[in-house]
Amino acid sequence: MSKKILILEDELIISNLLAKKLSGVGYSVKTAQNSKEGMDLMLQETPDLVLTDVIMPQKDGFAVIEKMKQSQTLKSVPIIIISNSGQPVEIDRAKELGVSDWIIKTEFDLQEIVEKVKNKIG
Amino acid sequence: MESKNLTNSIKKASNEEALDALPISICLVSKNFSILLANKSFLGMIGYERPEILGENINFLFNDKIVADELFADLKSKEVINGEGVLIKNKKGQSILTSTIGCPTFLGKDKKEVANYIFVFFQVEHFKGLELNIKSKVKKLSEDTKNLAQARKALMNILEDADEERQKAELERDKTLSIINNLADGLITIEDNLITLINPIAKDFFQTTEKEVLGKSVDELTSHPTLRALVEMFCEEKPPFLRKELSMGDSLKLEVSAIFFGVDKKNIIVMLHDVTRENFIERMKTEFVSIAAHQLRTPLSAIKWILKMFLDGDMGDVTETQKQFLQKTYDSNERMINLVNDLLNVTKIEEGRFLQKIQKYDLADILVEAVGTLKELAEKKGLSFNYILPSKKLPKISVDKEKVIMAFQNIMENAVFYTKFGKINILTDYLDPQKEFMVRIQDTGMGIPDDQKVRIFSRFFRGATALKTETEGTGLGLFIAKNIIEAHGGKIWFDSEESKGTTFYLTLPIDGKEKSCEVKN
Repeated sequence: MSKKILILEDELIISNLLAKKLSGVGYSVKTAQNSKEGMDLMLQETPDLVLTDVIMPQKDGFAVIEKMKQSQTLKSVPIIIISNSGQPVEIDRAKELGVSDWIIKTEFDLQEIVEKVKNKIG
Repeated sequence: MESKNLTNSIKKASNEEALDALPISICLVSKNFSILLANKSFLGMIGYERPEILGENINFLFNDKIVADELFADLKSKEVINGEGVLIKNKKGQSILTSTIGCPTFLGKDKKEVANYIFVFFQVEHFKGLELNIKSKVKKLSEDTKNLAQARKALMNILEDADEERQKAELERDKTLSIINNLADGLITIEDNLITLINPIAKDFFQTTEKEVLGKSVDELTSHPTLRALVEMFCEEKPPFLRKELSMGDSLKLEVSAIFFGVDKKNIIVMLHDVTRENFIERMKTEFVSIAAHQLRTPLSAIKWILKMFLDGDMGDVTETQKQFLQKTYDSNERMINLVNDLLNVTKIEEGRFLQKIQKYDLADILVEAVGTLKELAEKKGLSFNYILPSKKLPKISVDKEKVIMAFQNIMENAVFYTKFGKINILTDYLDPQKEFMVRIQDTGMGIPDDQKVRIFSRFFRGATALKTETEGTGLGLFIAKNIIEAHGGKIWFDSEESKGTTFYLTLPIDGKEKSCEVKN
């Protein structure tokens, strides 16, 4: 059974490209465009990995991560942050929440993101 | 008879003595005009000794015999000659103009018979002398009067000038005062630690009155609710400054400039410029660039990823020509990404929150990371790329690693981009084993034209020759590098000769400048 990945990203083009690439290498990918939708999906079906933006409408990505960390079922799900921003303060905050993978979108190719995902969940 | 003669002689002698004492020339002659008696003054006038003339007819003394005869005739007819102008001849033959008085003396009381004649001569030159004297005195007096008038005029002029000067000074003072009072900036003067002037704008800024402030000392005002923040800047223990920003709550930001003057530079003119709006606009501009740049990253990422998928064949097969075009588009997109990154860095520099995590790192590691793929790139261009380490181990330095790598990279990239032939050397030296380390980046490239040297560290500046050779580049690399190095307490400069090459010098303090670095999160 293929590993499940949830992509939480408000920019459709980004989430579509990520979804296409990741499903292309055999992952089962679901996408959500805002934090509420994302939380709902996660609670319905626990993913093996979450790729999330941090700047989104409604609650930001950090709030989603905080919520996940409070949830018994979701707290150990690996998270990779994909963002346009990459301030060390934000990266530090992510680390405090237990997320050490931070991807600045423009700095990585899709293939490199796939590699990161593979490293996490195989 | 003899005794009578003796008495007469004594009388005569005493008469002569008395006459000698008179300052006027007197001469007594007999009825037939022979000289009987002449006083000293008369003898002095004519220059003869008494014995020479006694008994002589007086007419030998007169210049003009006709005049003399007329005089004698008048006297004979018992007339009195009163001040006749007569010329007398002295012993030397010189003529003396006299005013002559002549009168007969009579025998008996009936005055019928003439006894003698008396002549009195006044020398006219004496009068002339007197007259001259008076004339010269009058002349002098009139000159004095003239001088006095001139002096008075000069004095009046001086007074007028002084008055004019006073009026001018008053006008100048009024002008200065109205400038001070109508300045758009606040102005306060502090003399001998006392507030001596506060203009209306400054009163507005601090919501105070002259009464509250004037004549008060800086120390007294440290308890003032609004002025406290300002005067604390001028307390004695604080170092003097030229320009500083002062925040008066959220709604007012002032730029405080201090101009020191007077003995020991103890007096201060404090200028207060409202920069609230400027700061707001500056912040808006920075925020705008920051947001715009972040927003640009999404489409740039999408383009990057899509192009990469095409290039990797994820979107189906592409021909070699298509692939070449896709690669060019990909490279252009990468340049856009770099530009956005540089813009974001510039906004961070402007916001003063550029340096982030200062930690101790090995300089060698930083340099190796900075060189990265550049050596390969340079060698691909046919350049020799030498990274020369000093014999002594490279120091550890306290830096924001990413930023310092960026600074080195920006300079090294320029060296590779703008060098067509020759070599690039990265040289490392201790300037001072305890304090400072220097990295030199030498190239044999196109060099920087003299007229552009002063501008190369400016934002968005690109050299004319650089533009011709390499279209790529944002004009921000050197600006960013300079800011990074200086924020770490280092220095950056260069030597360059057109067509010969450029050497950039970058220094960094070995013990780091953690305190002076603006680390704002």
